[in-house]
Amino acid sequence: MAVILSRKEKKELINYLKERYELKNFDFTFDFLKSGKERVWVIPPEFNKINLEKLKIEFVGSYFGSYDDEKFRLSVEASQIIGPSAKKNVVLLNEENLNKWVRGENLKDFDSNNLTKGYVLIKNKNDFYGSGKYTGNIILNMLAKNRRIKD
Amino acid sequence: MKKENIISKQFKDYFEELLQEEAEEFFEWSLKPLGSCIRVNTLKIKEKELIQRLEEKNWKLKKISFAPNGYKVIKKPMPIGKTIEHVLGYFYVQESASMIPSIVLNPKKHSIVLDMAAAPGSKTTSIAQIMMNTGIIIANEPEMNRLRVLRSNIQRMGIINTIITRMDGRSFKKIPQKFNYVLVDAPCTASGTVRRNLHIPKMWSVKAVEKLSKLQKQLILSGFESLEQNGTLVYSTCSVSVEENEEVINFLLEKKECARVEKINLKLKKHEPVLEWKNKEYDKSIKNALRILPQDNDSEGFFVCKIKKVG
Ligand SMILES: C[S@@+](CC[C@H](N)C(=O)[O-])C[C@H]1O[C@@H](n2cnc3c(N)ncnc32)[C@H](O)[C@@H]1O
Repeated sequence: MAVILSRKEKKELINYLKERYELKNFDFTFDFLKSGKERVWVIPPEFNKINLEKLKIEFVGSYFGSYDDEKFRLSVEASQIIGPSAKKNVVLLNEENLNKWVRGENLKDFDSNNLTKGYVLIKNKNDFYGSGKYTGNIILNMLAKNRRIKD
Repeated sequence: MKKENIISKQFKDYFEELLQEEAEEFFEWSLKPLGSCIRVNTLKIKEKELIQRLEEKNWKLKKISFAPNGYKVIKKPMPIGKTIEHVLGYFYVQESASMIPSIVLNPKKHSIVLDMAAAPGSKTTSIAQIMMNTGIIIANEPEMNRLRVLRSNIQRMGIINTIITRMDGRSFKKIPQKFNYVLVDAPCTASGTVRRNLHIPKMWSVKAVEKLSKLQKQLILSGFESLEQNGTLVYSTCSVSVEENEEVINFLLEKKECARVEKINLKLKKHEPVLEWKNKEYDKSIKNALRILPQDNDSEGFFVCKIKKVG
C-alpha cells in the first residue's frame, strides 16, 4: 500500500538532502509517495487530474530513493535531478573508478575531500550515477543490478 | 540459414497472395539483417551533446529523416547495452519504424494519454519525451514480466509522468477516466519483424492472425470508447497482414460513426493500404493509413493509422 509522504516527512527529507548535499538553488516542486516503509517515488505533478476509479495501478511516477540506516539513498535518476545543484558529498570519479562503479564494484582509491561518512553522490564529468555509501575509507557500491554493465 | 528453412509455407502462401509480384522482394528483405537504431532521450541530454559524445567514442550515426531524435547506428565500438550513455538513460534502442506511432500521435503538453499495450515501453518513453514529462500517461500492460521491463525503462529514461496499470486493454472502455490521446500498439503476429526474429514465419499461422485480429478489434474499440470528444487514437502493429490492420480499422469505422481516419504527413516511403481483400471492400478513408514494408525504408514492417473522434 502506498501513501503520500506527509508534509512533515517531506520537509524532513528535503531538509536532510539540502543539508547533506548543500543544495543551492534547488526547488523540490514535486510530491512523494511512500510504499512499504522505505521506498519513495516522485508523484507525477499532474496526478490529481486522473480519476483513479477502476484503474489497477502497479506503479506511479519515478523511483526517487529509499530510507535506510544512513537516512536516505538516492536512485540514479534522483542523483541526476539534484546532482547539478549539490556542493558537497559528491565524489568525482576518474575513468578507472567509473568503470568499476558501473560494474558494481566498491571503490577504494578516490578523492575524499569534501566527503563525510554516509551517502555520497557519484559523478564523472557532468554525469551522475546514483549514490554510494562512504564508510570513511571505501565507497560501497549500491548501484541496482539492472543499471550495471555486465561483461 | 536457407530461405526455405525460414519462410514457412503458410507465410509464403499468404504474402504471395497479398503482395503478388512484390512478395519476393518482401521475403528477401525479411531475411536481411537489421542494424540498430537509437532515440536520443532529450529529457536527460541535448541531442547534439550526446551525438558528439558518441562520435568521439567512435560511433558512426546517421539521422533518420522522419524521426526527430532518431539515429541509425552505422558503427559502434561495443555492444550498445555496455555503453555508459545507455546505463545513464541518455538514449533508448528502438527500431526506426517503431518510432512512427508516437510521432503520429504527437500529444500536446499536459495531455492525458493512454498507452494501452505499453511494454517494453518504447512508445511510452517517446510519448513522455514529446510531452516533455508533463501531463499523465497511463502505461498499461497486463503481463507482469513485461510490466517489470516497462517499469525499468520508464525509470531509466527519467520519466515522471506515468502511471503503470496492469489491466486487460479491453476493460478501458469501462473506466470513468477519458483520454485526449490513446495509443493502441496492439499485440500482433509480428510479421513485419522477421529481420529481427527469424523464427517468426515458423510460428506464424493464419489461425493466429485471425485470433489476434479478434482481440485487436476489441482493443481498438475499447481504446476509442475511452477517448474524449475530439481525441486522437493511433492504432499500430508491427505486422503486415490485412486482418490485423486495415480490417481492424474498418471494423471500428463500421461500429463508430464518429471515427475519422486522418492523413499522416510523414516523409517516408510506404505502400498503399489494402482496400479490398478476400471479397470484402474496406472504407476508402483507410488509404490515409501508413503501410510500411521492410524494403520501403530499410526498417521493420509496420502499420500505423490515425483516427479522430469527431463531434
Ligand atoms: C506490440 S507489444 C507493445 C510494444 C510497446 N507498445 C512498445 O512500444 O514498447 C504488445 C503488448 O500488448 C500486450 N498485451 C497482450 N494482450 C493484451 C491485452 N488484452 N490488453 C492490453 N495489452 C495486451 C503484450 O503483453 C505486449 O506487451
